[in-house]
Amino acid sequence: MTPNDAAKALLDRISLPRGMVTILPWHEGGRVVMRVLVEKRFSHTVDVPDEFEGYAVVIAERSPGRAYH
Amino acid sequence: MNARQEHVNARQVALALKAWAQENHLLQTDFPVALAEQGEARDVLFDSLALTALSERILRQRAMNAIAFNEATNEVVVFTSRKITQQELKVLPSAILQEVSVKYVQGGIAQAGTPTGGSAHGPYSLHNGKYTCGSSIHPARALGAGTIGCLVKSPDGTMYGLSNNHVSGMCNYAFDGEKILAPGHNDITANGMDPFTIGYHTRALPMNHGVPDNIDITQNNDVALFKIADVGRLTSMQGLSFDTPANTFALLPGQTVEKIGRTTGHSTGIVMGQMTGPFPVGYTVPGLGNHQAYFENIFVIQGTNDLFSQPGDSGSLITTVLNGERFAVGLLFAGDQAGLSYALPLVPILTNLNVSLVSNHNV
Repeated sequence: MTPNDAAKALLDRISLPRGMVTILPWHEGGRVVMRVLVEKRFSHTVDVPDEFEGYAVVIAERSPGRAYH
Repeated sequence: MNARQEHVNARQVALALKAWAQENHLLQTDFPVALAEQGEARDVLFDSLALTALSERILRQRAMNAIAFNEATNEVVVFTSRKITQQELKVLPSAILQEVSVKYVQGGIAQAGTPTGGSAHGPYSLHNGKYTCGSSIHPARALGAGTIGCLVKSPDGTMYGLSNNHVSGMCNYAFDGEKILAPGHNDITANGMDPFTIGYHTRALPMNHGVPDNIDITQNNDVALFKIADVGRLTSMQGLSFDTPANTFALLPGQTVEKIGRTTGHSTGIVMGQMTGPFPVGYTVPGLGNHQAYFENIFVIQGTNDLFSQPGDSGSLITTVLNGERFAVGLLFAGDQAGLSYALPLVPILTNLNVSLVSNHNV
């Protein structure tokens, strides 16, 4: 499964309000890790596996981006 | 400094170097140096500094902060924001007229209080007297500075500037015909170019604030167009580095990308991934406070040697080189506290706006 397809499938598995989690397939050194970025207030309740479709999964609290005014 | 003098001292070289840097928009200062030399003597003086076009490019990329001199050791020190590499040191002059040695030191500017948000790199460029893409712009009505990413044209041939909605579109609050200034306010200085109206806000793609659970964010994009006031004043050149490419390509993870922007100038990075699922980006709307909009199509870029972007680079066009040919792939719009940059793919932007890239314009 491609990283993007795996990310979409993993996102579908996570039961949180829409927009509260983002998945970033992080490409580095020929390896892809699924970074599950969770809105702070849900970070302790989200349930994800350590591995998904052959990709390692890590969870992190999500910090919003900021527009570069 | 008399250009025909046989002997020069460090102070004279420092003054000449500072004047050269000011003239080439490499060093911004509220206290410009005024040289005694004019005309041909001035040209000879600048030639004697032995600064090639490549030297200029290096110093622009590394961002000159200040120039100091030491008369006791007959030495001039050029301070830059970013460290000059060993390879670059071989290009830059190590001595002027074989008498005054030149050193290059990474060093910032001492400051107290709140930073003013100035550009560490020259905020705009002029190519044959024409204002380039990758340079500073901002709506005249509000203080700030962002970047004009590129020139585009509609099917009827009308030329527009492309940037972010949060730059030229004022986060949806720019009026039709809102004047866009170049350079932006933060970059208007006593010794710099006179600001001019580069264009007039025309339209923006949707950018709805609010949570995805409540509103439709699927069309969200941070893009706006402003109609160019005088096409003869602009060039499609991206800074002084390369022309805006005529063709586009998909933005993809793993690509090595480049951009020219108001704050950090020419930078390179790698696309580390594409976000899946909505991701929030915070905005400040002039006079109206802070908002947050979610986007579904963000790509994350990490700088190669330094930060890929900083505030003020918003709107920069992102390009990549494939098999020796350059393609436009994205538009920079945000970043995070970890130093990562966020970009939106360019192909759907141009499709939705029904415009095409302008290349080879006043190049």
